[in-house]
Amino acid sequence: MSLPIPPKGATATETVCQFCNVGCGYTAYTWPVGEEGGPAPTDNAFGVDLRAPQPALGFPYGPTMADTIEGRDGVRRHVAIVPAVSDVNRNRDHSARGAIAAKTTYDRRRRTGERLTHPLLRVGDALVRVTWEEALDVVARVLVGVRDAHGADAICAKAFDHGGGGGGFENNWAVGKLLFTGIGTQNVGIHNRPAYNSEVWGSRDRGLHELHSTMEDVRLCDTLVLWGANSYETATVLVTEHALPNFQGLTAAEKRAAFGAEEVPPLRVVVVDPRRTATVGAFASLDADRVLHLRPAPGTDVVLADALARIVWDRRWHDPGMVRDRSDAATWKDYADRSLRLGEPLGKVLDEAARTTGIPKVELLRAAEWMSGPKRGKARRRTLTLYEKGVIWNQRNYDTVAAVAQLSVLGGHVGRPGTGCSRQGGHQEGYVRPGYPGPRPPPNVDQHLVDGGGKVLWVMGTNPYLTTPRAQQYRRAIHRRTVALTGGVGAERGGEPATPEARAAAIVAALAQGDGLFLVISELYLTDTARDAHVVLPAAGWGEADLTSINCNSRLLRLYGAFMDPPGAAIPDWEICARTARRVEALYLAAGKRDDAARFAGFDWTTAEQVFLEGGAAFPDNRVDEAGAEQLPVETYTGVTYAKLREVGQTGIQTPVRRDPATGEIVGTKRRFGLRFGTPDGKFRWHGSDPWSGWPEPVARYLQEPARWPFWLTTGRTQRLWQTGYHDQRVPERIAEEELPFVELHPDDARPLGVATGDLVEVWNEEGNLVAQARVFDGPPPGLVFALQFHPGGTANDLTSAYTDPKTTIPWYKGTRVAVRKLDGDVSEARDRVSRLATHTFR
Amino acid sequence: MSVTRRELLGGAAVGAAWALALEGEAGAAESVVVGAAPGVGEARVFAWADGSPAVLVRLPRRVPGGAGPGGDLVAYSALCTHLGCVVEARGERLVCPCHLSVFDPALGGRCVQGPAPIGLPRIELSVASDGTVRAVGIERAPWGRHEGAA
Repeated sequence: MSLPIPPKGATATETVCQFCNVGCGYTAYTWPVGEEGGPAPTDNAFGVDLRAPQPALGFPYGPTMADTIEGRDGVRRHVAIVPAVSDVNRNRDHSARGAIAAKTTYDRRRRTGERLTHPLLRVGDALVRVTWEEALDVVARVLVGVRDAHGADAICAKAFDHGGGGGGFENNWAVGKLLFTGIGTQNVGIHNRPAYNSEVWGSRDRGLHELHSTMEDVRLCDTLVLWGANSYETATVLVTEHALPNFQGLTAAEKRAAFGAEEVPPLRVVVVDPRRTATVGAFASLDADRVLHLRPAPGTDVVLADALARIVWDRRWHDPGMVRDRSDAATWKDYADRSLRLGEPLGKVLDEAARTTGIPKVELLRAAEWMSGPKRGKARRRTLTLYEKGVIWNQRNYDTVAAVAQLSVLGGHVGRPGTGCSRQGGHQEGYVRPGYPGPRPPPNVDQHLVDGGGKVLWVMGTNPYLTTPRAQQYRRAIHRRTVALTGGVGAERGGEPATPEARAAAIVAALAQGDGLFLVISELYLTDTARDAHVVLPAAGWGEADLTSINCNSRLLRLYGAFMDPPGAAIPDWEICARTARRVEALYLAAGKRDDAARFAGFDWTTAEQVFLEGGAAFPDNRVDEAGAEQLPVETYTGVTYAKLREVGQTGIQTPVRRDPATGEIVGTKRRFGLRFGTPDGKFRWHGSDPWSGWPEPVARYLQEPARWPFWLTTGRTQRLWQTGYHDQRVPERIAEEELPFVELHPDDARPLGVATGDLVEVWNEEGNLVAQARVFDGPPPGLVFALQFHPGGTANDLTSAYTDPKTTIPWYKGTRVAVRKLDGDVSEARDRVSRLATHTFR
Repeated sequence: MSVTRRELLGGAAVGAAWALALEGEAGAAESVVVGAAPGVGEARVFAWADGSPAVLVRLPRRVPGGAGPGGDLVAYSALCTHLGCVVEARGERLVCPCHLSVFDPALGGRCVQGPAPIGLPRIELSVASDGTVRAVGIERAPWGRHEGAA
């Protein structure tokens, strides 16, 4: 098949990738099948000469970037989704994920045709197609019945809160308004975790919101610290377009222009990860001498960060101005005593740190020097730290995040070009919601449901059967509880009440007895979780409705334009929430409950922009000066309209956005916290780590039986699959590349088990079981098994322990103990379909 | 490094080869003489029918779809499917020097690491009784080559 060429008149829609945190710009072209552009630049919508072969790094239109779709008007169209030029992907760079966007679009002739097209209702224990009116009437009546009988907290939810595909400010605002303002429940968990929390309170409480650096800082820094972040695989274009050029010296002129006479040394990279990742290998393939790989034992990163800070302090590499003038003196002692441990000799602190983390002292000293040792002429080193799930999903989430953030602030590595201590991000962001009505730390909603709590669970755009901690236990419990309800609504002879009113009444009555659970799902596909639902609501996806989001690495707000219809009767999540709320409001009004009805008022939106503007009005007043903007929530966009976003296109606006008090002009924020921190007095607040006391009980008990549970297990992602693979499993070319869940084993561990690359193994502990394909190479150190976290064919979260950080309720997804065995039988076919090449090697 | 260029470059014949390649009728294109097979574990760059770089690899073992008596000969377009840089043979890997995409020549050119969205287009080989290797078709157009390209 030749690639279709969009003609001059093709519809061109600017958008942003639906996938990772980087947020590359894309343009979506659509035009009717049968119309064809020509290869001359004047004859195609690209304006590119396709007659001549493209030069290297030229226009990248390729076979994964086009397909055909069909609108609600029945017209078949070509769709081509091609990297645009933005500050993120300046040379139309793109990842393997974004490059298949066209293949993820809905078409009934492809496997994406498995998208949900109409609401489904469980009738006679089968999911049958019904209308929106019937489905939402049942949902609304059950919500009202349960809320009245058992209280708002009996209604539980697990909902996306992010940007990019499926999320965005519009959908997030609507979800929050329904759950918090309307229903008023505290039993809500965020898509990838069991509670409603920030993953980075440890940084935010310091006055350092975790998104504050800008993409330029990746090109300008002297030292790049990637802590618990396999950036080459999970933030690919950040590395290929910004970090690798810096490492290769290609940004030296940009640095000299920014820094004048200051020394511009070749970039050094510090990677903190127990595993030798592709990120380590990529930089090392260019110059191994400028890469330092620290491999802490699982769960010990907090000890590592505090030890590095102690070295920085003892060497007097810290930033005295930052400590004296920009941080809070009252909390310093706590940090000095408990994190820096200034009351104890450096030698003792380092000996203990080396023993606990397993990192040799010489590497600790070198890492501290690379991060904070001054440059020639005593210039302060410009160090950018990007951290992600290896920090966030580590043991002791709060202290670990705080320790990493404080190490950067101590060294003065925040608020200047080429510095920062930001989270890398996994996905994009787009958070705006009314305040969460629960306590801090928040309740563990998933455990609450496993323990029989709650009457209703509404899962929005996430698949907890794969993603929640101890997923196996959760899956079994939810399945059993939903089946219990289904069995409770029919008459003895099997018949069920026929009208929504009678059906809902029967459901509410059944929920009053026993521990049945009413499960509602809003989704793109019939996921593992959705198969157990009583009501399934089809949501519009990326490209099917306008949405707005920010990327992580520069907080770049852009409009992600709709370029095609949603499948069938699917509607955006904001509209699902609005229609539900309006029905609940009507039911409460009919019952004469005006106060309850009032909670569900104000859902009369008809366009995505109305939701966007209402969310924007919820931020604090942003008519402030530059220093005042330091205290605004990072997402603040008040005053921005879709018209403005269309006008700025891929240039976008960096949030927080302020409105200049004098001119009213909309002003973005390139980089944060150069003037003040985000606290009332503008000063950074210190925090002292709890002393190291070994591993917590849910994992420590495995450690007491080393012969039975001989391996650590950690998890991560792969370059080629996005999250749970909800789209990827329906793109045949892509899923063929990662056909099975996989684990990586060190050869020393694999040999005694008789395991070679391609074999199938069972990995298990008392929490659960995972069958995966083995890849044997020296990525993980001996004694550590690495598993792909999620795959449509199995999830490593089945093995996660019950531990959550008592300060935040964030799980320790990244560390548990397991046993491994080789499966019996012939696996030659599976073995022939997997590469024997180690994925961390480039030489 | 021996690069044997196809005798007839440019003109209508190339256009015809393209159209056929784009239609996926591998094997129908005019063939390119690559020459003798390289040594085991070695690679040789050659020019595919349109003049774009391609790479012939002799693997250390028989692989599915491998050509020659040992079933160990494979060839691919050498243009990275990400942004069109020329991949390098590095041991068992084909690696793009620009953004480090890695392709596995033993597995149909599959991309096993990096930003390339898809594997390298596979080139079909035919080996004559005298050992001369000919490239006789390509799975799909090399990167950055579109219909009407010359």
